[in-house]
Amino acid sequence: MAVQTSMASSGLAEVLDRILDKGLVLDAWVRVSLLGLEILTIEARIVLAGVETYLKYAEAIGLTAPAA
Amino acid sequence: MPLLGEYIYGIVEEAQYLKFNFPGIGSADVYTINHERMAAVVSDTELPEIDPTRKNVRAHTVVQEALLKEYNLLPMGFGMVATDRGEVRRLLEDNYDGLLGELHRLAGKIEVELKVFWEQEAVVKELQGENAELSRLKAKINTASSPVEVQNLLSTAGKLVESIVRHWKTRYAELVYAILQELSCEAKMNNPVGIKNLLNASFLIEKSRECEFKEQVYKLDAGFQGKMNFKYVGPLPPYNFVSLKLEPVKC
Repeated sequence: MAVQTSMASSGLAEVLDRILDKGLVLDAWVRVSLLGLEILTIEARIVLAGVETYLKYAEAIGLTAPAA
Repeated sequence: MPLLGEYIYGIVEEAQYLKFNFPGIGSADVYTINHERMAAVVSDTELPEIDPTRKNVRAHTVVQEALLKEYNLLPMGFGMVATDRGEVRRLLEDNYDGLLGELHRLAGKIEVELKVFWEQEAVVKELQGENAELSRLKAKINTASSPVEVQNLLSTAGKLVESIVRHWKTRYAELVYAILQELSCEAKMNNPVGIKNLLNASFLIEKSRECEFKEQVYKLDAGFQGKMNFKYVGPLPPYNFVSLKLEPVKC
């Protein structure tokens, strides 16, 4: 079986993806430090395009440039 | 003097003032601010900004998890701070009907999250089964004479992977979503996380049907024979299904 179940997500970026900007939000009350946020979520939300995407797909099956 | 504020975790239906026995952000006491039948669950804070650190995020979710065991909970997003208790009370007053309506609409329901990822070996196997292109590319990569050539070959291999993944997405992931949607009150697709993510979806389900829902997930997984990995998280507060625009507090 390859189903992984849990009560809560383990990764911080993953949890933030759920609890930021979702649920009840009152803009005037948001007091999240944005600096920390950018660093944390940049990886999770990155959007790739073109050749870059294909290289990522190749990497995902273990294909990378041989070491020089 | 430090600025004192009220960090808010969520709204529950509770007419009595309560102090809880679990700690909040900065280990502060967690208690309620009430208005008629409704309560905001808060803790005092002196922080001018709430850093999204592992510790703070954990405090936020742990409080909500504890509340979810006892109550129907309307979760607040992370990092919401009111200036003082009066402001929280006014939020409850000004939005009373809307909040109560939303609490009743979501009563007895929980959110669960399912992420489906493609399995590396299964994709490679499928690619090799279809044609010998991948093996040829691999061999060429090892003997390529320039970085540009390597990059082109990798890109070609990546295209092959992408076509399989796109196929799996429409053929399998959308099927998973449709089947689970049938068991849910509401369902929502979220943005994918990372290149291996085929499906990232949230479902609003009756608490009483969680076992049935989970069983269906296991059944689906078994049917796909290792092609994909399933990651199931729940029960969660209904972050994706609260649909209430809060009225700004009037001073």
